[in-house]
Amino acid sequence: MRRPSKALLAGGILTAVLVLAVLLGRFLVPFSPTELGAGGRLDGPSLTHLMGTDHMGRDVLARVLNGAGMTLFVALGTVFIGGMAGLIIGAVTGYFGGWLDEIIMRLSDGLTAFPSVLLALVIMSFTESGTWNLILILGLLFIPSFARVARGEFLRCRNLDYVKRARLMGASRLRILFIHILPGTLPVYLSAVVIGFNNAVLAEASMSFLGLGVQQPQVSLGRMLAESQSYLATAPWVALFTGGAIVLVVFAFSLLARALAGARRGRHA
Amino acid sequence: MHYAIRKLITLLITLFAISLLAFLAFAVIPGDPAVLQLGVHATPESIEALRIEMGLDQPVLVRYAQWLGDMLFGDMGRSFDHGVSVRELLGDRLAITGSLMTMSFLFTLAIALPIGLLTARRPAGTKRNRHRAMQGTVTGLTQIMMAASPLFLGLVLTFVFGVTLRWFVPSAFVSFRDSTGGFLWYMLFPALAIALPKAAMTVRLIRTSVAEEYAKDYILTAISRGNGPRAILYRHVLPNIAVPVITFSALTLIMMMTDSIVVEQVFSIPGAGRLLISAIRGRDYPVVQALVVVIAAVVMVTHTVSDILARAIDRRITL
Repeated sequence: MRRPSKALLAGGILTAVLVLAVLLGRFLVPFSPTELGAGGRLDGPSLTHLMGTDHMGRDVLARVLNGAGMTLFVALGTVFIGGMAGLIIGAVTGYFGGWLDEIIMRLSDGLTAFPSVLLALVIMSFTESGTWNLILILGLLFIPSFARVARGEFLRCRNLDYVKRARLMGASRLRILFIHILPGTLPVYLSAVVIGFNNAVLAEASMSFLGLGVQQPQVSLGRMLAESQSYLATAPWVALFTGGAIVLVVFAFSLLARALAGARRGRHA
Repeated sequence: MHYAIRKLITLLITLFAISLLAFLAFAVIPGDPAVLQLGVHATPESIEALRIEMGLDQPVLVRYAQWLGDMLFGDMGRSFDHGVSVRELLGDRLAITGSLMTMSFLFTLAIALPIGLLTARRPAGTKRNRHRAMQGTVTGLTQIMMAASPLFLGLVLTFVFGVTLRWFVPSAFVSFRDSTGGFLWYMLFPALAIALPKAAMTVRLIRTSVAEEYAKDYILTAISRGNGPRAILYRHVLPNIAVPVITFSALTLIMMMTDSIVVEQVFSIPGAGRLLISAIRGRDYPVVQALVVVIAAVVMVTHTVSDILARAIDRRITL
């Protein structure tokens, strides 16, 4: 067994700490994220309020943890929809090829030519903004990029010896696709999923910041940034801690993605 | 240039298809534009009158032809909210966003190209890179910058240079009509907020491309013939990594459109991005539709230009 790389260790630990902090946040912080006047208005960071308070006297740390939970939830939902659908579409088009593959790939070429946040914003003009719509729209828009990665991997594995052998032994198509090929594609697919997760975090932050994502009274990191902007001069800690949380999440997951990609390279070498 | 002509024809066909899609989407999904404009409480007679005035009683394809013709001559319809023509709304705003994106793009290249090439690893068997201390620092910095979004960076720059150092007044946008210098100075900070993360990614791309190139056999031959690292870098490696760098830069430019929407909001810049967001919120469909067409055109033209440039450098590229 190889020892896990430093990047994997650092990324893994950082991610675990962040996720635990978000999950256990309400037990660790003695304030509720919505409690008005938990402290004074716009108090700086202190021992009682580690990240200070916002313009309504709410505890910023509690809000950051709660908002990060929402942001991670949106990203998870997005990656779940995009990742699952992308995997199935990529598996079918990569393994079987043919005209369906040709049509779907041209379609996804067209879609991926545009930044997904831009498309999501335009789609928002037709629907109501809100958490579920945001997840659904981002999830759908993330499908092509995932499908492309999955397709490449299934295409690569299609004619490997063990797959041919399974085919000769009469394994069903579904069995070949998901029992035989799928495990071999996971290392590459997983690192694509982690990168996609990061893009989803940033997409949520941008869209909610622009007021077209998560809506009041729900809290997300993007929404908090929008609110904190007006108090940048008087209470910079609100914006800096909130934005810092986004940077930390993205940093942790990008370390993880890099480590996954690196582990793959190491194995082939 | 046979290749370029074929690319341009493809571009025209794609733009045509996109315009049809953009028209149909906005003709079908939002519902009756006449009702949208007058509100649900309008009398049926007034709605019918407006429908005829707007040409909504015509078949869809006739309306599309009319709309396309109007677009080509710069008539993009009237805004529901502002009561003026979309063209009037777009004018200065597109110029502002265009300058922001141009500045961001130039900064990205100006930062990434020298740093990427200077701190790239040397091939095995030659002298170690003199800039090794810088190599490590840059690796760390790029990792952090790639995690920082333009949104957060914009807030940090506003706080550091606007609030603390008072180099500019936050939210006090200076129009280029009032002062060119003031405009460029104000735009410096949003442009940096967009450029820094992109520059970090570009540095990474340049480094990996250079490293991949150095691993190739012909580099060994070049070294054994007595070429120094400089000659190898500029004469052999640079032309070979130009194509991936150009393709990546084109993608960067396209991604900058999303960034500029966000950054315009952070710095209160009255550009096309803010117009798009307010039009989406207010369901001002003619404005959204016009901006969608503009965005699609920019995306397609950027792709085409990058393809043609890549082909001019590497003749092996085919359609």
